[in-house]
Formats: sequence, C-alpha cells, structure tokens
Amino acid sequence: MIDVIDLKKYFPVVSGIRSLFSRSRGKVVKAVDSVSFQIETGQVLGLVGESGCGKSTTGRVLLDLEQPTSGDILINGESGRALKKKNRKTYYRRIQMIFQDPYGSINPQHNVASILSRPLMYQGIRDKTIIRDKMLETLDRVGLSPPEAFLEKYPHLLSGGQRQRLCIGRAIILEPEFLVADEPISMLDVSIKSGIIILLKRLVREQNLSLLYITHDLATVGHLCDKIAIMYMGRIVEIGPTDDVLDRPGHPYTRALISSIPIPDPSITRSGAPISGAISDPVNLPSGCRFHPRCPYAENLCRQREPVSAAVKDNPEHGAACFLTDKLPGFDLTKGHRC
Amino acid sequence: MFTNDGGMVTVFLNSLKMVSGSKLGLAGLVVFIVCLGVAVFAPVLAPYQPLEKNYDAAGKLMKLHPPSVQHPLGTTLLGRDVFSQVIWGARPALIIGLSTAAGVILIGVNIGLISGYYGGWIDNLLMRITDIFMGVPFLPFIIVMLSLTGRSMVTVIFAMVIIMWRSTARVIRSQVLTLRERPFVDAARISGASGLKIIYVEIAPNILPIALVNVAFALAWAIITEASIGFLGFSDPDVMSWGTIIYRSFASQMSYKAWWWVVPPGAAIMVLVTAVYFIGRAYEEMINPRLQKI
Repeated sequence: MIDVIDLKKYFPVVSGIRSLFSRSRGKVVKAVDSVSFQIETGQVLGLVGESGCGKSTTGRVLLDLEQPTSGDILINGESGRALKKKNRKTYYRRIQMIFQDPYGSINPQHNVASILSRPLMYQGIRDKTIIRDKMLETLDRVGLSPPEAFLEKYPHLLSGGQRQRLCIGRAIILEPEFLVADEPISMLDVSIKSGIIILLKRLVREQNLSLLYITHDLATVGHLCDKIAIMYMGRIVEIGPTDDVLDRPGHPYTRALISSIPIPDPSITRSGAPISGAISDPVNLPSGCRFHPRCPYAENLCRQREPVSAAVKDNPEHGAACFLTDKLPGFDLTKGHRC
Repeated sequence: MFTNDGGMVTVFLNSLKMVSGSKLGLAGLVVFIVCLGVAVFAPVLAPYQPLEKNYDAAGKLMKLHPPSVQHPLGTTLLGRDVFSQVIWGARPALIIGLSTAAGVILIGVNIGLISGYYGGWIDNLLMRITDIFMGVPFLPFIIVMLSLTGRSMVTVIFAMVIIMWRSTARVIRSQVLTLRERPFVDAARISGASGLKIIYVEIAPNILPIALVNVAFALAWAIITEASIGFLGFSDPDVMSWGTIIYRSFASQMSYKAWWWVVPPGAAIMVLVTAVYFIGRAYEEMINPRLQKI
C-alpha cells in the first residue's frame, strides 16, 4: 500500500543573489500542489494530464530526484522521509522508476551486464554468482531471452523496445514495492507499446508491487490502470476507479480530455466539452478554480473560490474537484473512447 | 583515475582502431611509433654518444664537417655527431611530452568532472582558480620557474602541467554539464550510486573520447614548448634535446654555413608534432563527423 500525502513541489521563479533585486522575488511555480493519492499493493494508478501539469515532477519528487517542498509518502506504512533520512540506498530498494526515454536513460558505454549489476552492487551485493543469477532471472522476467545472449551486449545493439525492457529490468532487479513509470511507452513504436503494457501488467501482478503510471495518453490507461488521477496545473482534479472516471467523468477537464481521444471511426460524432486556450500562467495562478479560464461551464463561484474534491454520484471512491459536478449536462460519449 | 571497468580499455582500443582507419591517422600513428622506437633504442641506433667529441685519423677535432658516410648528418662546432644527437633528442621530447600530457589530463579531467558535476560553489571556486591560471603567460612562467628552481626535466614537466590543465578542465567541464542532465545519471542516482560513483563510473567513460583528443593536442603542444625552452637555452644542459641542438648551433653563430646542424633537429620536431596532430585530428574527426570532408 502506497500512500502519498499532501505532496508539494514549488520552484522559485528566480533564485540566488538575483532574487534579492528581482520583481519576481518570492514568486513560485507550484508544479505539484497538495497531491495525495493511495495505491493498493498489486494495483496501478494512472496519473494523467497534459504537458506541464506537474505529473512528471510528481514522479521525480517521489524518487527524490527533486527535493519535495513538503509532504511525505508512506510505503507500506513506513515514512519515506524517515527512510531517506536513515539511508538513501535502502529507500531506493523500495521505490524505483522507469524513465520515458529508453535511449537517454541507458549509459551507452556500459553493457547489459554492468547496467543490471550496478544497482545490486550499489546496494552492497558482492557475490558474483548471486548477481549473475539475479541478472539472468530478471532478463528472463522482462522478456529478453535467451538471457545469456544479452549480458555482453552494448545498448546500441538493442532496439527501442528491448532497451525499455532493460530499463524495466534495472528497476525491478531490486524488487521494489513501488514503481513509478514516467511515460514508459511514449517514445516507442506503436507495434511494441502493447508488449510493454502487458509486461508492466504482469510484473505488477507477479511481484506484488504498486505502480504509478504517468502518461498524457488516456487511451492506454484503460488497459493497465485500476484507478486514474487527472492532474491539472499541479492539482489532482479528479480521481477514481478507471471505469467510473472514463464513463462518468465529474470534472469538465476530464470530459475534455476524454473527448480529445481520437476515435478511429468517422461516422461517430460526439458530445463533450471542447476546451479552448492553453494552460494558464503557472506563476500567477487564476483566482478560484484553476481551470475556470478554459471551462465552458464556469460560473461566478468558480472564479472566487477554489473547489475541493467531492464524491461524484455518491461514490466515495470517485472524487472530483468541481462545484458543478452535479449540474453538468449528461455525458453520453458514444462508444469508442476506450479503444 | 578511472575504474577498472573494462569499458575504459575497450574505449581506448576502439579509439586506436578508429584512428588507424583514416589515412592521416594511420600515417600519424606509424610516425609516432617509429619515434617511440627511436627513443627507446637510441643507445643501439646512435653510432656515437651525443656529447662525444670526434677526431679524425690525424687526431684533429672534426669541426663542422658536412654530412659524410661516417657522420650522416655532419658534425657540430665541437666535433659532435649531429645524427646521434638527433636520435638521442627523441628521448627528452617524448618523455617530456608524454608525462606532461598525462599530468595535464589527470588534473584537467578530474577538475572538469568535479566542477561540472557538483556545480554550485565548488564549480565557482574551481573555475575561478582556472581563470587565474588562464591569466598566467605560459612561456615566461616556465622560464621564471626554471631560473628559480634549477633546470631539470622534472621542473619543465611540472611547470607545463601546472599551466596546461586549464583548457582541458574547461573543455571537460562543458561536456560534463550536458552529460549530468542525461537521464542515465538520474537512473544511477536512484539505484543508490554516490556522487563519486556517478562521476567516475557513469560520466567518465563518456568524456573519454574528448579527453583522448586533448591528450594528443597537449602532447603536441608540450613537445613544441619543450623545444622552445631548449632553443631559448633554459633546458637541462646535460640532456641533448632537439631544441638544445638548435640553440647550440644558433649560439655558436655557425648556422649560416652548417645547415646540417639546424635542419635535422628542426625537421624532427616538425615531423613528430605533425604526426601527433594527425592522430588527434583523425580521432576528432571520428568522434565529431561534422569535421569530416570539408
């Protein structure tokens, strides 16, 4: 069970000595603003949003690649803050990450054996046979077989899909309890995307881990995720079981995202709320609801007060941060949005 | 400096293979290896001792004899064999060149790596120190240092290393600045690697090609500088280097008629430096294909 509590990451607009004289002194970009969610063991949460909404920053903060401004994560009840304080290395035994770019995230000068053995060696495992057995087992698990044939290979001999499998192998070789996958398939060919999704699904089940699947692509979420969180400008605006969120979206932004999934059938026309404009200035956040400048239903109340998450259709599992959830026109998306 | 990873050795062997793939690089390598052989086997190859005075059958000193079968490159004003001197001259050139290049790379690469990776005040401090060395005039500094400490080869090497690491450090630092932002560095960090492990295991193998180019250019520059110091008369008087040969001929004011005394050491310097430049250039072309075929 993974429990992320009130995670915040603010980036100062100007830093260092310049900030003393700048007009933007004290201003921050709230990249991640009070994000909370839970992931059960063996389950997948999809974190969805458009570019710049803070979803990748959330992942990086969880992995301590960025210092969180505040907030904590409980990994099976243990505080991540306390774990890191005690020993950074053991923290990374419990939480690992798969990066977006399978080309940039593998050191081109190291072969597969040294890429996979490094995490074990950094964690203090020295026994060569244990390391080798573990590497072969992991290669086999991520579908790189025969595993012996891969050990001596250098990354430039691997295809994009094989590289991403290697990255997944590197992440699971320490048997973490929590895995963060930051757009793991967005840079791959269409033909290998589904293979990676299936692999992730299998690993979550077999290894009993929790997966945070970060993506901008709602179309793949339905295949993999048990729950979805929709993020907009640093906030989670809607969260709930996949089916509930996709079929009965309670937030206008979620509706807009779903409506933007292409349907490969020209005869289908759909209702929905197309939104206009671009994401607002992240430094000077809009008053009230952050989404109101782009929201087709916005009322006066939305401009004045910020909504908190409330149950959608009396379903406690499904929450949306919108004043108008109950007043929105019916969302009858004809079939096809779950391709 | 580096880990015994195997990756380093592979990179080095690959780079040798790459250099010999180009005609220019192969020519450079052959000349360089010949020079290395000459330096190692100088006692066997040289017919006379470099400072030995030669007398003819009548017991007369062979002053400024032009090239002959006995003395292929003639003799000096003191009857010394120029050919033997040029052969022995390969030794100081290569010893000073190679040790300087090694020292420059050792200091420059490490400063560049640490400065570029850690950033912040460490980077600031190291780069301001580099700036100070950037402001030191090269040749005058070496001459002053030699006059203060005595003229030995070790001093020459030391003085050159202390100045020449500055540009290598800058180049390496700029490379590290881009490398440390690559996702594989993040990947290493979340597998529990410490800062030093990331620097020497993850980043260092990736800057090795640039470092090797810098080795070649530092080597060439060190050889030229050593010759300049010799020509100015500041190098070890007991060691017969190419620069010293030219200096002696110049100081004796005999170079106008004894061309055989000046041309061979000059040509030797030129050939060796050109060869080293070719190696560096060929390698640079390989790792940066934009330089090819202009």
